[in-house]
Amino acid sequence: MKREDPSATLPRGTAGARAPLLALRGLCTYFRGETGVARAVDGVDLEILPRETVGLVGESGCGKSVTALSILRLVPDPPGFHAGGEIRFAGRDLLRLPAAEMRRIRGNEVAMIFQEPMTALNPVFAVGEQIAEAVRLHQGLSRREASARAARMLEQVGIPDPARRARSYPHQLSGGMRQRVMIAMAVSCGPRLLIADEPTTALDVTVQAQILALLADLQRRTGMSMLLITHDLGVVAETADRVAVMYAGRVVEHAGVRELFARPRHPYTVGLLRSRPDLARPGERLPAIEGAVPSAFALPAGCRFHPRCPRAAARCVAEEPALLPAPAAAGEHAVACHFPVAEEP
Amino acid sequence: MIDDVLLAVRDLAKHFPVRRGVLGRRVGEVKAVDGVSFHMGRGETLSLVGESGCGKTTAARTLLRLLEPTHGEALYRPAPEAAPVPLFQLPPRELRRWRRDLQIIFQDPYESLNPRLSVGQIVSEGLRVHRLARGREIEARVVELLERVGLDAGARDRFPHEFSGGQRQRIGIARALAVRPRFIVCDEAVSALDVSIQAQIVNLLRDLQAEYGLSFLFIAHDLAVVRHISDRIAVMYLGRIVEEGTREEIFLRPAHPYTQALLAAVPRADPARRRERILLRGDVPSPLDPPPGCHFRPRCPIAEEQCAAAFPAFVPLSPTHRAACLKADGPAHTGRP
Repeated sequence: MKREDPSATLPRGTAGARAPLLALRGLCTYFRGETGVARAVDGVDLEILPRETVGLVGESGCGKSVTALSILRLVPDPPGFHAGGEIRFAGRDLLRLPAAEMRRIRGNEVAMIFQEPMTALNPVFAVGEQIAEAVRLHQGLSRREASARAARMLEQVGIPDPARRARSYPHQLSGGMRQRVMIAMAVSCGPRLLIADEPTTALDVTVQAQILALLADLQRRTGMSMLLITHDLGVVAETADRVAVMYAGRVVEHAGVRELFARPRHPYTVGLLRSRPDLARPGERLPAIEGAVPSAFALPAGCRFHPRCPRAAARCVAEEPALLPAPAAAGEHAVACHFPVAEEP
Repeated sequence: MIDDVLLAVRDLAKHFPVRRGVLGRRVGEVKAVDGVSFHMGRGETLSLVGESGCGKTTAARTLLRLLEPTHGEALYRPAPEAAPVPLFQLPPRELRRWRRDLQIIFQDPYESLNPRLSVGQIVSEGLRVHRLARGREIEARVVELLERVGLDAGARDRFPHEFSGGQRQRIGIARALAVRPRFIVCDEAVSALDVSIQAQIVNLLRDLQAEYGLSFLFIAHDLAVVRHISDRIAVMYLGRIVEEGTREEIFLRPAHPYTQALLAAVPRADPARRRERILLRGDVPSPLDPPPGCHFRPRCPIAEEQCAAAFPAFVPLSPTHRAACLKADGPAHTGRP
């Protein structure tokens, strides 16, 4: 396998059968800091098909949120800047679009929801008005049509008494309700892709279950694709079709969700899956991954995981592994490791 | 039952006044903790679990008298034969003396470590305050503590901001250990950590428990961690304990409908076994105005008219298992070990 063509590093399988809605190829987003350049996203390859949910998992600082912001061109510049690669959405190269055209895509064709809805909602406007404004702007509806759409959206996301709730201000709503409002706003223009960045992390577990069920239901009804960014392997296991695991700015493994959980190939994925407390027998020692995630300002040479990797050898220090189809994989499965784990751990 | 009780808490309550207007008129109160009773054995880990606003953190902080209790009793027995110490009746001077035994580790070690103090100063503060070591001894003890929690001795001269979240949590643990406590409240101590780091800290806590015979009151909302670390579990909802039992009882035979819903809501990291969940309706009601009768009634899938009459009494299900539900009578429920 040659490295020149970045698409060649992506395995063909189900992904090749349909044209991807979104494709990232070697995406790099860096940040200038006082002590140098932080390579937050450093060569990310990722595809999302129509109607599909892709889970992007990894620990704090791995670059998953910066990847999302890069897709929407929302990375503040400075200090951030695009350092390479491309983002193709429905046949268009998002990085080359004029700002005005990008604004038409953002919030309309590609929508995003965040972990903390309070920071994304405007505190001085009633929530109904905020949704109505979005659809007026993007879809050119009249004032009256827009408020009717807002009330209908609130109803669709399971907010009781939507006409009254539309007149509430964000601070008058509970965390779960606020997240529903943000989802209503995000899907109000019928996006083709919804990017959900830790959408349930700030919520209690019973409310998290409600929100995940709501997202799955909306997706079924609208046929939108979803990029679900989370650190929670349980959330990914229950919602994603395919999973990409990020470590220190790169995708190190991706596969269908069942395949990834049943036969993880990258030692980092294996470590991550094993360190979950729900797998160990109560009282047993948890198989932790030693050490800590490297700083994006000082990434290790070769494979970025090698300082923490139980399988690391000389080659791992010298040469960065490419994301290649996993040896003897059933279906689509790619891994960036010189010595991938062979069988079930 | 537990023979060697370290701590017995009875009817603990913490109410906060709610004031309105320019004169700060008292218009009501929030019963953040409303009559909570439990006990802890020596060397045991008891977890208080529940969602935000259930009162688990307030209960633990009131127990340590970081907040003054509204009423209730807490008897602390430093040694098996020692006379019980009534924590809530102690005058300030006496309280300081016993506080050495009762320590706390917080969720966000960044907010709980003074950024202007070096790690050495942070860890040694308790040694100085309680006069447990002096001069050279302090230095040696600090190095020993840092090494025990997996940091190197050089950490002594550095400052909290130079460390990662997991390392800062290790500093917080070293600080708590410095005074040789018997009991540590772990207040969401691993909740903010990434899963690979969380595993390291959970392992460390268990090692320290085995080594020093510590008792942990573990405050958490992550049930996977709770299942791993606890001997017993108490589930709280809106200021009250609704179910209490051993780990096996709570996870295999949850009797309260809230416990059942809570367990069912946890996403399973097993895509081969996706399933339809019991979805609770609505959110947790405001503790300012809890529904009459059983607080869980408005969200409960099996509520009946009689549930509105009064807060249900505990139904004993085994010597170690009890649930505050009129319909809790028995075995057979779908949990997982």
